[in-house]
Amino acid sequence: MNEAHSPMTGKNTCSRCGSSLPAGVLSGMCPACLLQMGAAPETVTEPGGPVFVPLTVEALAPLFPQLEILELIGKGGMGAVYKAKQKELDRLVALKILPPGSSGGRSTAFAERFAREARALARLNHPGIVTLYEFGHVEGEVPLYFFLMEFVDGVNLRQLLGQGRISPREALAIVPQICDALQYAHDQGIVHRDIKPENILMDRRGRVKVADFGLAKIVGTDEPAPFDVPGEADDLTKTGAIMGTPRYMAPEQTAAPGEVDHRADIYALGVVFYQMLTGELPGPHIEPPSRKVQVDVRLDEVVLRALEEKPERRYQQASVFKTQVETIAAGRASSVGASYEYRSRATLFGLPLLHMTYGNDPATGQIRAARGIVAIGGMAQGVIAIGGAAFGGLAFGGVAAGLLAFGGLSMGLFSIGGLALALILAHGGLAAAPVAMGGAALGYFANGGWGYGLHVWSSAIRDPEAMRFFQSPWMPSLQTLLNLANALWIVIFGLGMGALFWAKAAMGGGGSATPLPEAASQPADSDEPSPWQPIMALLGALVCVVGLIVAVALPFPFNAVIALMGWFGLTVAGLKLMGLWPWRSPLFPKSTWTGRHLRSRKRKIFLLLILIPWVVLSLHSMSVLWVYAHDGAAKKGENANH
Amino acid sequence: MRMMGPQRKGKMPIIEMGASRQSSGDLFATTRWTAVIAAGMRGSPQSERALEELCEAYWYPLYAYVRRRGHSREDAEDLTQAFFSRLLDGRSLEGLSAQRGRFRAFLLASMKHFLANEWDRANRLKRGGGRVHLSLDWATADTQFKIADRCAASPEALFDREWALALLERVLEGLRNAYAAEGHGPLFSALQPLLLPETGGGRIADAARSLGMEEGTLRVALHRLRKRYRKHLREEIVQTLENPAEVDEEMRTLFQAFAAG
Repeated sequence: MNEAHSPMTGKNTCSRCGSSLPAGVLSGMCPACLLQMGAAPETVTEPGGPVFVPLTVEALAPLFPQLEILELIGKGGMGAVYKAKQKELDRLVALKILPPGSSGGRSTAFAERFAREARALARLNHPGIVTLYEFGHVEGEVPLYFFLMEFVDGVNLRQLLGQGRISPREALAIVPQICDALQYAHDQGIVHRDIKPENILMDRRGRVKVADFGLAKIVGTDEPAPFDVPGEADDLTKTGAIMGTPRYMAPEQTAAPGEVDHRADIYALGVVFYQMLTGELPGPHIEPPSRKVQVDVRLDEVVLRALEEKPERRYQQASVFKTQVETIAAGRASSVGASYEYRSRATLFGLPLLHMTYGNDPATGQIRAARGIVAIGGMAQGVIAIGGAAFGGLAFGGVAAGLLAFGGLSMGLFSIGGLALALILAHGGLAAAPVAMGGAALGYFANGGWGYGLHVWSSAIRDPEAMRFFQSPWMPSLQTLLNLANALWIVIFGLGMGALFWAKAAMGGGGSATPLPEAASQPADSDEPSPWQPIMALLGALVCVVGLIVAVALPFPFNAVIALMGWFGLTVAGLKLMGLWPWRSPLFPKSTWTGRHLRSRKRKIFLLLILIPWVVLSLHSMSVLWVYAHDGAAKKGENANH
Repeated sequence: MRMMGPQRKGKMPIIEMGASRQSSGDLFATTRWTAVIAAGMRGSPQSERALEELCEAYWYPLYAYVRRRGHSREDAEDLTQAFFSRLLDGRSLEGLSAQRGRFRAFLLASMKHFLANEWDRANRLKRGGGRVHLSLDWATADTQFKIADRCAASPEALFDREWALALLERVLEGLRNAYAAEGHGPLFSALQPLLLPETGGGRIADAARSLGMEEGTLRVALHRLRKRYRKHLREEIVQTLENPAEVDEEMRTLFQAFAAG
């Protein structure tokens, strides 16, 4: 019996687990050990489960006379780890004891396998891998297998994660080190098979070390052992099948544990990476990290690729993974210097009076959008917006959209610019609107060097209706205004951008980082959907409707052109709704909005609303073309007769 | 040597003598113990009997708990008897819903409530009066209690421990009976001491020699015994649960009762 008499109290204690033995019951067997045996090994090794009670320090000491066992520092399904000191060498080591059941009884085949694997592990000599010093087993009816390893004075990643989310910067510093270790081991033909935060250690100097390499292969075998007692192998295989923490295991590892290769490690690392960035494990449908937290969008691609279900779609080498990660890390560092932001304290209706931005947001790597009453920047949204792409009430820009739009491409209620599209009046090089004026004018009332429309006053055509309209008493003043605006918008644009550059330079040159804390930029670039996107979608829809009306009313070929534009817009909108539009438009760099954001019923309604005019437009265009072909032939016939 | 499950002496319980303990699988095939109690003991005769059996198996921990709460031997006997009479008579007892289907926790909570509210010296249930469902061996229980550990742990923790002991005893007894029914009684007696694995020593070789078996064959038999033991243990625990999925948690709780000291 396993009894040890304590002379003081006369109580018996179990030498296996240390709990006191009740007298006269259970034939003297230890109830705690009985319960423990009842739990293993069918239960999955989850933390918190009493599947394996580690030996006490006192019980262990006599088995390792050359070591001074100091304390138990960890336990889990893979065994228990003790901090110890090699007496002769006076060096701290970690002693890992495998669970007694893992060998499934005395098995020579297991011992050979153990030795073979352990020798392979001992060859791993890398600063990022916990070094294996010795291995062996203590003889006995149930042999006790142990490893003697390098002692790492620090914490493991699980403990770090428990303290909160790791910053992207730290994560980008940790992952390449793990990749290095993995690549080294993979080059030696060794797969870890159990990468998880508990196995990633960080010492006090911040160096990362991966522990428990190849242990999963030793403890959980997937080859049937020919000399084992039948029945014992069942336990082993069962344990082998669940070896490796389920949530970090690659899909092929759960399905066919015997056919796993080094790419399973890459998957597990992807999971750990994801967890470091977002604080959560990826769910059944993996949401990109940049959607959950403020991280660089480019990391999405890297993490998602590592998490691919099929191994052949993942990174094939840990070193490639590392390069990708390091590139992003370097890219972030360099872009920080090139960005700038200023936001005024005063606000009106929640928007700052003045907001200027330049360059990329260091956190996300995307172009910042200036948002405010007056917004100036690469992308600007505001009541008065000036920028490369400007949206708002008064929009001045290369591409401008708004109530009053001035720009190279301007769209709005009133538009002035190179290509001016408007819902009311457009004035520009090419102007299209109900009232269009300019070099080439398309519209109900068109006035220009070249005009097409219902009532046209151009060099070629003099429609009396048009002339009457364009000679209304208010027209001259309007003309003056328009000409002025046409001349001035570029000046205003220049002034705005000039102010931006001047302020940026005043802040200390190109190397200055943003003067505001990162948190301040969050509302501008947050994960909330921008209110402008649905507004722009609506505007787009309005333009399409205008196109439809105009197309119906105007003569060929103008109506066909407008119809074509409208048709194109509807096609784009429809594809986006169905989630088939794969490209990010440069106008909306953050626009990943697709129909998937809508409930399926709403999506269907929208699709219907788009489909009907789409069909109508298509039919109309085809009929117009048909009529033209017919008419053209007839006219040719007529002309020939004259 | 086996002190738990005191032998029924004297008064026969309501259930017929000779009714064999049903195999654990179909004990509560139709109704869970919670449903039986909640329905005021108006379940089928089988389920009522099954509940009685459960009470017979685990009454000692309750008795010990009452003693540890400071009651004298006679009072503890009366209280325990009264408690079970109430329970098996179908009078509602508190604590049902709060325990989420765990018989052990339910018994403890009900007993606590009972001790706090229901006990009234003047209403001491006379022995022989009312329907007595269980015949409990007080004498053995008293001896058992006296030799039990006098630890500093709380009565609740000790209740859990003794519950676990009762549970394990039942499991071992069930195993013994199963092996005996198959004609392998002596084998079980030889294997039982080897149930828990050990480091060091050549017990298995000795046992094989004494049984006249090959060592390998003995190992197989031992392995099979452990497997059956686990199965029986889980089934035994499942009997006391409404939701079989909680068996791991219950095992953990029982295990922790020993871990504390």
